[in-house]
Amino acid sequence: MRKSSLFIAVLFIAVSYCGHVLLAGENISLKDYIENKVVEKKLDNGITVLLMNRGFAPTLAMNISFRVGSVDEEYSTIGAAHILEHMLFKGTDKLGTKDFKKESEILNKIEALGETITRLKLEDKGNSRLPELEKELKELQKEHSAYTTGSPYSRIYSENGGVGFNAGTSRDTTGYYIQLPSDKLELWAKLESEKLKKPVFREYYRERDNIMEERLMRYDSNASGFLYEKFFAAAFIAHPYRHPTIGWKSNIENMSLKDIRKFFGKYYIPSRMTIVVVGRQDVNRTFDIIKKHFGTLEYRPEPGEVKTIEPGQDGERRVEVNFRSRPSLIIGWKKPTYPKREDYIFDVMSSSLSEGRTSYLYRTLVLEKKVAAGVDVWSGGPGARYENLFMIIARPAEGVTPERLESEIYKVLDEFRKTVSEETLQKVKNMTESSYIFMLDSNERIASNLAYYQSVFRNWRYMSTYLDNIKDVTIDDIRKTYDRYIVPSNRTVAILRDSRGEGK
Amino acid sequence: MFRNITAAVFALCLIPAGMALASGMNFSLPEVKKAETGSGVKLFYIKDELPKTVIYVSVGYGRIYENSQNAGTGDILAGTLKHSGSKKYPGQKLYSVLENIGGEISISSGWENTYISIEVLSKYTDLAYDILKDLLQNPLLSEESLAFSKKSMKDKLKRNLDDPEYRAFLKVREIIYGGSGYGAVMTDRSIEDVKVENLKSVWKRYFVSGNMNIAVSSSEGFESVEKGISSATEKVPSGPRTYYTVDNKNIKENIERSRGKIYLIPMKLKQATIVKGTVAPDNRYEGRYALDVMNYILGGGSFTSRLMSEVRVKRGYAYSVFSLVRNRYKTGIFLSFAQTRNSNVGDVLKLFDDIFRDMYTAGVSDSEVKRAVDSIKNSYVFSFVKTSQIVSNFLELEYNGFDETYFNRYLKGISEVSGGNVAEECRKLLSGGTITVIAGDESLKAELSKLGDVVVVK
Repeated sequence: MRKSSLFIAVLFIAVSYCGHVLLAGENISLKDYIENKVVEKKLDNGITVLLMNRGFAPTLAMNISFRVGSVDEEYSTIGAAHILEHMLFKGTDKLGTKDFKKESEILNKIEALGETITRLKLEDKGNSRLPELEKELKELQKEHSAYTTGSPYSRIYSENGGVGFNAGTSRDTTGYYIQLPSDKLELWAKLESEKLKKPVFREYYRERDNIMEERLMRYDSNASGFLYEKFFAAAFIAHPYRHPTIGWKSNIENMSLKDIRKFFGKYYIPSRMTIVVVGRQDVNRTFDIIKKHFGTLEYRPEPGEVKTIEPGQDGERRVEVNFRSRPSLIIGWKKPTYPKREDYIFDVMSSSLSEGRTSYLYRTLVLEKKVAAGVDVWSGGPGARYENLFMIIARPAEGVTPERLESEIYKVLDEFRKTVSEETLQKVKNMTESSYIFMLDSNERIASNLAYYQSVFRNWRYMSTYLDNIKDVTIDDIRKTYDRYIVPSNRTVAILRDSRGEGK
Repeated sequence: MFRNITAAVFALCLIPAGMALASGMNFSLPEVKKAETGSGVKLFYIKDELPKTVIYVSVGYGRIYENSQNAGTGDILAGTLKHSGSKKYPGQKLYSVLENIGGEISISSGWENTYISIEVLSKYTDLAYDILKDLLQNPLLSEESLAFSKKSMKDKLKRNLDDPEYRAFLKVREIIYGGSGYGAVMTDRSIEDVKVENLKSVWKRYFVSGNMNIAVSSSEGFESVEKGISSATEKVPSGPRTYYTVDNKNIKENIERSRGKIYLIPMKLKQATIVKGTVAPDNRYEGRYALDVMNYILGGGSFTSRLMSEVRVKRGYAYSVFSLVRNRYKTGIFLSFAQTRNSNVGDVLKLFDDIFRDMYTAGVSDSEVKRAVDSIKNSYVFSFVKTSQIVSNFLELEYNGFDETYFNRYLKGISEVSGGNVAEECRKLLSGGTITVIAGDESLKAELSKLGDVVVVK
């Protein structure tokens, strides 16, 4: 044991250096490497553009990110950000239609009927008019199909070699991404900018049904999604982080198309938009193309930030759910977010506790005591724009109760607080540095990180300065932060029990 | 918005340096250098501009080599090796050494190969060689680690069996392959039956020079890498490439026996999981290009596919719906998938069958074929954007016994596919019927009985 520790100490001496590595043949710091490579520009309407020329293959990763997510919704529009993301794949007045003039007449009828059905269902599901109206809606939808070309973006992008065409909505942001051969840059800029200028939300009611299926898949048929949903709803009593991004079932079923349009107009504004292009390119030419297509997006005023502030927590909250699945548990403590320094301190705690097989939680609970089948830490869920949670997610080993595992987790945390050492911190710093270098070979990952940090923190340099901030964290910082936040009264615990009675 | 689907079609898409792509782009790939170490292990090397070294070891042994008695051996071997380490780097020491310098190691078992990968900053490349050398020469494979690995595997299996998607895919494979090879099903019993001697026997038989390939992506020079890998593999015993066997007659009978049946795995859920599948040809089959194009049109081409368009876009029945074809060294598989609320299961099943039938009776349009061919050709470049991807592709190529002309042949083969080829391959693949498995509420039995002979899987 002592020999092993000595060996580790020797290694730490060997790897303690000041963050300078040989990148692209130059001995420069990671910070300088990233900052020298990233070109930041701003369009007159307020859009932030981040470009990075890299790689040997003529490909580009494009990422358009909006600083709007489910946290920006009101009670009546929970789920709107995600539905809107789906609707932006439906085309424009020129794309996805065979004859927009004729199509729009049917679209108006569909919307009038669809909204009526939604309203009547909300008032009384047994309304006798509903079957007839629903039949009428189906006929109109069938008629409408004759005027559409179906999934227009997917067709064009795939023909042109696009991969990874997708979008995602979180509590904090909504992103649209794809990778294309470099010579398809202008095609992408044209399609994406027109989508934002004149979107047509066709096939709305069918898409709403698809989202209900998505909800069934991700939350109602999935133990992990089921538990997370209940956990966040318990951890936050007022702040919109308590709502699932996909929305509650009733919200989705009753969401009005009018509300989706309103949400789009209010939040999809240039000042909340970041465009990132990473890969082999002439960045000046890329910027010119982006300016030409996105520069004409209309300026609209900033709607403002979320007004609800989560009240302080005055005691432990516990929630239990039953599901046909092996047990699991989530424990979370409220914590500040960026730019508060504690955010970095929690990241160091997270890595020390859960990253790798030598981490405190994995080593103790999985390898030594064998009470957990798996354990993870999420430092900063479910979002990072507002105060969030430091979370431990664990799956008890067969025959171990969630309560026993919970109690063992607290023991490991206490042990960590007592024994955290310079060696542990150095290991975290080395792992962080390596993971940054390993990440730099992927256009997609670089683009996604830049878009995320700019959208969420309004500062893409978070990425380049992250390592230095992690390096500044001390043992004293960890202990003080731990003592302040990792306390029972600031804690929420959610336990999933097997409804079949197995694995209690 | 979409669910990610692994595009099987790109598994073996490789092109030589400087090749002109269909989109008209010309670019030079970093050169891949090849060598054979003194012990006979094949080495593929590519220069990386980032200061890191990634070593991938691929050994020809995986789940497809197993049967109902020893299912799980590959996964348990990987788990045991991870836990026990080697003589010089036993147990946690392996991870302490690597994690302290920010390095990573992964040991895993796939369908056809077992992989060891080590990723470190370049300045620790020698350490990576040393770890690899000791793992290959002196794996511990202890009783204690085997027990740990078996327990972890049992826990994982129980959790996997709670997942309707896992169970439905597993059942389709099991029926087609009669519980062997591609359809081997791990159970508590098969896990428990694995002994240290079994692991050592697998190691002795498969971890030999002719059955092992190594790829390295590094900022270090070729000569230095060649030297390091030669040293790391110097004690790897010589031995031949060993492949699994496939009983095609048995597979055919299994499929024949299941014709007209619907297997229902009772799981109390609001949403049902539908998987339909059948056996597909191996990767030497001359019609595989047409099969790739067919799959793109049917369910592999995301929103442009027929399944996505009919099931999701036009009817709102499912969020996730797709198909895939995987052609492996000696066999292959076709799988199609959808998840839909219980009340829609009958409609979706009928729709799947109609779409399949329409593909081989009415055929496909020229524009569908063109779109599929353009998409596959134009996105080809994305298999080559990272150095690690390029050398990994070479490992696949080597395992499958293809030479470099395969890369050109693949693109050419795709380009030459016609609508007639697609319909013909679709007919061969699907006209004999597919194995249908539903993981969903038991109450679905009545509805499903209208469509076939329901077999409730206990």
